[in-house]
Amino acid sequence: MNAAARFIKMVTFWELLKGMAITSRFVAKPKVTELYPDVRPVLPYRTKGRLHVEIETCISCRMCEKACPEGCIKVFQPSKEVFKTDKRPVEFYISQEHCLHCGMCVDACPTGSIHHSQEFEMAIYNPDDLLFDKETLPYDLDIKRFRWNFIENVPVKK
Amino acid sequence: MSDEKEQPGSPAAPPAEQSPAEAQAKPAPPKPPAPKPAVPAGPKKWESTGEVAENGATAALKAKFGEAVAGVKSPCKEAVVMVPKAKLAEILSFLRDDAACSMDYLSDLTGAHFPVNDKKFEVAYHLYSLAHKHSLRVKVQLDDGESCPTATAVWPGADWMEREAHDLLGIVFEGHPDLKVILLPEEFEGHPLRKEFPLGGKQEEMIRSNKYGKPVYLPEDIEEARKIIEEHRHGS
Amino acid sequence: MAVNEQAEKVSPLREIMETREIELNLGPQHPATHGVYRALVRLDGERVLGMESVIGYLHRGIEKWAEYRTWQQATPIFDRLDYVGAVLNCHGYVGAVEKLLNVEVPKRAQYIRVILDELQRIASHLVWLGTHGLDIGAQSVLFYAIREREAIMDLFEAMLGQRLLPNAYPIGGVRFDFPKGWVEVCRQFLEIFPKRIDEYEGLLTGNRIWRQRTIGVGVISAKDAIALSLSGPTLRGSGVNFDVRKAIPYSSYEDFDFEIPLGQNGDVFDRYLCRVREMRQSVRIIKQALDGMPEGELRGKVGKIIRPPAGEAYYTIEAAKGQLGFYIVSDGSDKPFRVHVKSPSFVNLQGIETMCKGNLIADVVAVIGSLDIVLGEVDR
Repeated sequence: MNAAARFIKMVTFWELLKGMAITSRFVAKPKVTELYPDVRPVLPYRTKGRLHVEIETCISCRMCEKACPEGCIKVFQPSKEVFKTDKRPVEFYISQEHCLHCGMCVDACPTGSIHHSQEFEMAIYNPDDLLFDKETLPYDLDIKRFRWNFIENVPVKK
Repeated sequence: MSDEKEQPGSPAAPPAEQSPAEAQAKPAPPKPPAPKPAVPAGPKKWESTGEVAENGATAALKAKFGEAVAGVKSPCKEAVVMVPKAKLAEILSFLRDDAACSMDYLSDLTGAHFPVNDKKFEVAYHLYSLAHKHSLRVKVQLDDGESCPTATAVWPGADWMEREAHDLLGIVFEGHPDLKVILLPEEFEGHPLRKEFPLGGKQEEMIRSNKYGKPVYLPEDIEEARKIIEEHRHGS
Repeated sequence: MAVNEQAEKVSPLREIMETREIELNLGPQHPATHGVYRALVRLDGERVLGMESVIGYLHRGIEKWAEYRTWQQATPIFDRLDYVGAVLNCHGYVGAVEKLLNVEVPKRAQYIRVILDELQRIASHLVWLGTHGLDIGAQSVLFYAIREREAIMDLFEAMLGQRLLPNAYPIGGVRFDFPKGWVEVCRQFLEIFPKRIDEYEGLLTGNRIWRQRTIGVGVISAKDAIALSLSGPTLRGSGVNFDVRKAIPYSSYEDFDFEIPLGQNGDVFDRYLCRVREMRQSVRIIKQALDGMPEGELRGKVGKIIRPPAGEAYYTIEAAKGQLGFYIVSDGSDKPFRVHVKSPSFVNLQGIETMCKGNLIADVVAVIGSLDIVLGEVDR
């Protein structure tokens, strides 16, 4: 009986038919691929995109600079007299070219001034544009989608 | 940890004790050498801290080889033994064949470079017994230029691991069937994992490649840094 | 030798025609070698007489690199070893430092690590399954495998922020707890996934082309496999019961009830079955971990600057490819003195000569696929 069943399966190419059945099941199913440039992906809250610094709350403690494994952050503190009253950095450079997006600087920041944004499209024509300074680091929160809850698909209140 | 290390470094201390009379006469000059002894004794030798751990394999080894096998301290209670180079081959095959040890699985073989130690290289064999489920690290110390007997006769799996250690650390394994480069290009000079081999980068400063791909380091001075960045922005 | 006898047998024309060995250069830029791996194959007709591996094209000096970073800074680079199983690499390094520091990782963090590790193991096996199928000629499996891997990558992105190289764990625990709704999505995935494995098996396991290409190909005996220090499914395919999760339990693996799938013959098909069954066991482990998730802290007591005591530690985990070991040496400073990675792919690749000898040249591709090598890990 068993041998007969095996023989029938062998002659009828049973296992190949089974495989064909599995693949043909998906012919009419909707596609799971994302049509990326046309349909924008909704990114989760914790996405590690381009680094974003809120210069206003930064106290130029240089913890991010020390935590960075690639050394792509450079913070210049203000002079001692200015530092007593105004702790904001004089210059803040991030070379996104070397950034690993590891999140160590975000971990180290005591004030939460540096954090990842949702921006992931960083391809540019001129590599020098990947060097961000104080003017280019913060970006317009209204334009970019910022901090979305992945599961509920709603913006997260800050 | 530092207490243990300062004891061998004490020879530098006696000169300060020899001249108490002078020290009273001239209080200022003898004082500077007094805090120094630990420092001029040379760079600290690397030595493991912690306790010596035992398991079935170390007991069997000590029963067979006695004093030749020395337990090594380990901060995380791993069984580690230091063996003399002359007896290494014998000990390794004993470890594999002995019923109490039966270290049939060579988990890892690697080396490390300690430029401050008397014997500059250490080779570590991480062994595991599939039957008894215990592990052991066997270490052997080598001088610069000294060769180590191969373990490929005991575990054929040591082949590539020894080639790798030879490649990156320059340890020569005597009797290895085919000791040639494995990870590095054939024309590569030097051994990258030796401590004197430079990495070719400094991580404290911001790295920024210029258009030729070479990293550019930003100085601490802000004006100079701004100048460099401006140059790069307009240069390319 | 048996191999030569076989070679004699398959070339009866040898007596009247002059034949000679040829050396074939496979790779380094060959799609079936899964990266920049070069094999010099000595052939007699189609029979493989011997084989030499040339590696090192992707050597980036990660071990040296780590010596110039602090203990924490060195964490993200180890993701780049095995870039399809990044979370597991991170666990290996972080676990080694914790072992040296004698830090106790909170139970909840250990469970979260188990869940992410097993998800990563599934993802890694899915990439292997797809590409291995592609090598042998089963094209459609890749699409199904990548579909499920996408779901896992989405889970990673929601949990860790990155899909491929998430830098998952800090030293001492985990960074974040689960985001809202993550556990439910994960459970949905775990419900669906075993059915998906049935799909892959429906496409491959019974398929006569697949069976003919894999059964009896690339055989390695248990004795040889142990002697060559193979690990992971490559070792278990030969019937050796060695899984670090059971043998040297770490990160609370002793709490979970799971089996270790073993093969019998040590051929390509057995290694395939081991990995597929391992995915089912991983699902089991994740379900148990989600059910028994303890409450508590996420990070152990680790300072901002880590100075482990002078000494050394060897910590091994069961990565997707096999036993991943980290041998770290500290000199009491805030930077690693020496980090050595025992990468499973590197050691497993040693067995390729034994496996390929006497097989046909077309089977070399099947054997390379069944070893599940990632060249980033082989060359480091």
